[in-house]
Amino acid sequence: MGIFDGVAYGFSVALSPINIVYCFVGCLLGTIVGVLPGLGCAATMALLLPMTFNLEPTGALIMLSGIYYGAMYGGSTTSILFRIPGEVTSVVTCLDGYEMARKGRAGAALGICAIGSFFAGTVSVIGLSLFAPPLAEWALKFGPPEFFSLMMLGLSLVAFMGKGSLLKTIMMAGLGVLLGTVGLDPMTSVARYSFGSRNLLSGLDMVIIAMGMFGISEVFKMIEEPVRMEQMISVPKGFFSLLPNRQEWRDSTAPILRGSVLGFLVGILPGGGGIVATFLSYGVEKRISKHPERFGYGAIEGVASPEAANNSATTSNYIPLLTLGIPTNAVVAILLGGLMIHGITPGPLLLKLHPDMFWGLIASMYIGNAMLLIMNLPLVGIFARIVHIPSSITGPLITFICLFAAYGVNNSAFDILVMIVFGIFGYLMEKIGFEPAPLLLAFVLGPMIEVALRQSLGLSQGSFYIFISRPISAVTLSIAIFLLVAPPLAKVVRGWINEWRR
Amino acid sequence: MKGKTRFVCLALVTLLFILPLFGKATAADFSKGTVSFVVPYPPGGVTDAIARMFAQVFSKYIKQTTMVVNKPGAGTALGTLEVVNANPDGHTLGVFSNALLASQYVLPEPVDLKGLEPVALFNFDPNTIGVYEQLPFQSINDMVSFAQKNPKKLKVGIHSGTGTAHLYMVAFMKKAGIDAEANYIAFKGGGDAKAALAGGHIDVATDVFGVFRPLVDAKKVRILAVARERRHPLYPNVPTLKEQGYDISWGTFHGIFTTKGTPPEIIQILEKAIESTTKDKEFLSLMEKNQFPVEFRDLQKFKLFLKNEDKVYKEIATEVGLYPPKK
Repeated sequence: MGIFDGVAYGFSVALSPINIVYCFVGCLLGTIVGVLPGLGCAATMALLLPMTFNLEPTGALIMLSGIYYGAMYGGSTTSILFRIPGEVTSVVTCLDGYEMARKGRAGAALGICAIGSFFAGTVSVIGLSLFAPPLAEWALKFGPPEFFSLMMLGLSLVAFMGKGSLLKTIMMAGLGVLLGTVGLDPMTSVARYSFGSRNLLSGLDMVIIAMGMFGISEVFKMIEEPVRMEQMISVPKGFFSLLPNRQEWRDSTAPILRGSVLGFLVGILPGGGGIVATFLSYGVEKRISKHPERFGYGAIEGVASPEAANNSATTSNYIPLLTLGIPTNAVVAILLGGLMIHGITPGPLLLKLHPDMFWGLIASMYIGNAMLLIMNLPLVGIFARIVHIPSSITGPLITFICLFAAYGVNNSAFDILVMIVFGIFGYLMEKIGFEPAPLLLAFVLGPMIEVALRQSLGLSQGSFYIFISRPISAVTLSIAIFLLVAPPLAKVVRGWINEWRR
Repeated sequence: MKGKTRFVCLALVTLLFILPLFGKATAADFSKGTVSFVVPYPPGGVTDAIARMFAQVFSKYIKQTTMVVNKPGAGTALGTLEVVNANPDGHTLGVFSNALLASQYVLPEPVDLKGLEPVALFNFDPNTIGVYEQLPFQSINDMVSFAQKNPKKLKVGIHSGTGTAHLYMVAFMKKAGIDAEANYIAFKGGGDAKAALAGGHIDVATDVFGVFRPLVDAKKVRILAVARERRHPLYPNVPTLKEQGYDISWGTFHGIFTTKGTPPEIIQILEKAIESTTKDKEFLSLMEKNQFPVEFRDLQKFKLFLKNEDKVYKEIATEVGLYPPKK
């Protein structure tokens, strides 16, 4: 079945009334789940899995998928309004999104998120339809050395994440890497930094730390300065002032494009997927921006690109899942579980044996993205006004939500304690100019880099040459080094040229 | 708050605190309530999928609602503790696998299994040895002779922190005499190892049929052998390890455990319900579609099985050097 036939067939499946209902339910649930912090889409999908037993496999998969990418749309909402990451992938949105809200541009931020996500989602579904098998092949070429180089590229961008002093940014990153080592060594199960506590054996959870350092610390700031937002921002006049203005549109176009492509490519690779994509796209945007100093203070590129990236990555996550049965992250693993429960084996035979499921799913993604855009845009107006509620009400509300959410992530009361500790820590750190974002980025990437490094050296029997001898790894490392070295090098070279001219 | 409202609030709160105190179990009481199945992994994995299929059908025979609770962390320790510390009333069941036994010898602070009461086994899936398709090995002996001639060139993937695949693979390599020549690469989980094998970054790995199936279909992996007494009925072309000279029979099992101290009558009820589930058509078809074999061993046989497995794990872990674990 050719691609266009396939897509046409897929639409005939996806547009059946019952599948449209499943799609809608999934998207709606996803949006709600994404907006509520702590209630992760993974947990929700797991809860719904038993219910899908009695449904048609295609319908079940459509609904579960709707939850997944729906959560990506909704996750940015609390990030922008309250600086609480609704989903792990929305952490980066907290950086500039919240600052935009403080300046009264919450609506613009939310609007750009919705539209950027729609664009990215659509583009990546097209990519999925056209390029799934060759891309899966390409993704398989990524072995431990390639992952190491890619993660190092990500880590090198951490230098650009902070808005303040470079030294402080690097210090926080260092601390992040250290925190990432807490728990069982992923390869030899030796306990590290667990201090005899079983709870620490599984390590610290990124969502908990993020909620603490962003959300709880923000609450402390609210207590400190009770009268801030509502006095600083004038009440918007009319609905359209809530949407992005022309300048913001113009600024966002290229970032959304870049974010979509980057997210799509990174999402195919195992491990992290969406999270790494958001960090990478934020770093890239800041790095190539003509005015990088705006980042961290409400630059819309810093919102548009990561949001596009995480939606794009969500779709491309399906490529290794459907073609090879390889789940690239925990959420996709649930989808795999769902497939298994219905007795469907992913792989090349999926296309032959269940073309209705494959193409129906892809077509439903087009439909789902459109539905989500229609669902989210009107809500922008309502949500944007939340910013004007006095902090004496939102503060306790945020605290309440965070406390519940912290428990909900892993069914662990210990996590609540961790979140509060990091909240206090984050608040104190920010007072003296140390930002949370570099710590989080390093916390996520550190363990991945460690595992990749050890595996690579195992493969090469100890030789570091393996990172250069393999083409993909060599290219990626070169880009990383170039990104790091280029600015100071350019300065030096310019200095020489000026000297020489004189 | 006004006086009356305050009183009502206080009353409600007091009630909330008193409620948990009501709850002792007898066989007569057992028929009411919910049975939870604790899975010590995050949702989406093999154990999770199997547990959900099981719970779905089990509720028919136990005549209660069932639910699956994921309690990942600390190897499998947090999930295990959840069952150990639960009320011994038969409502909290654990769906545990080999990892439970392996963790005893691999984790720095394993959970004392004396707190658990095994009930029955319902699944046993033999492991297979898969190699990257583009390698020239057509049989186990091809691979073994390659390793012997080229020390440290054979890249062997091992995975999972709790070490069952790790233990099995190393035990096999030792039996084949190529333990010293193998280059072991550790992965965080089966999924990562699968991806690395499919991409040819490692040469060989072990897992169950169901996991390798999509890769075999995609011509990325070739299965050289299955660790079973006789050939697998669904894969008659795959020779057993025994046929190729290695008398090893091992696999992934899943069994139901509950809290120590649960009254024997309740355990009997559970055991009977598990047996009925394993004979249920719906369950069998669900498992078969995913290529998960169903096998029932009752309480006594299960206990014996566990004792034997435990001995094997201890031996291998000591030999490999994982036990006693370095603190």
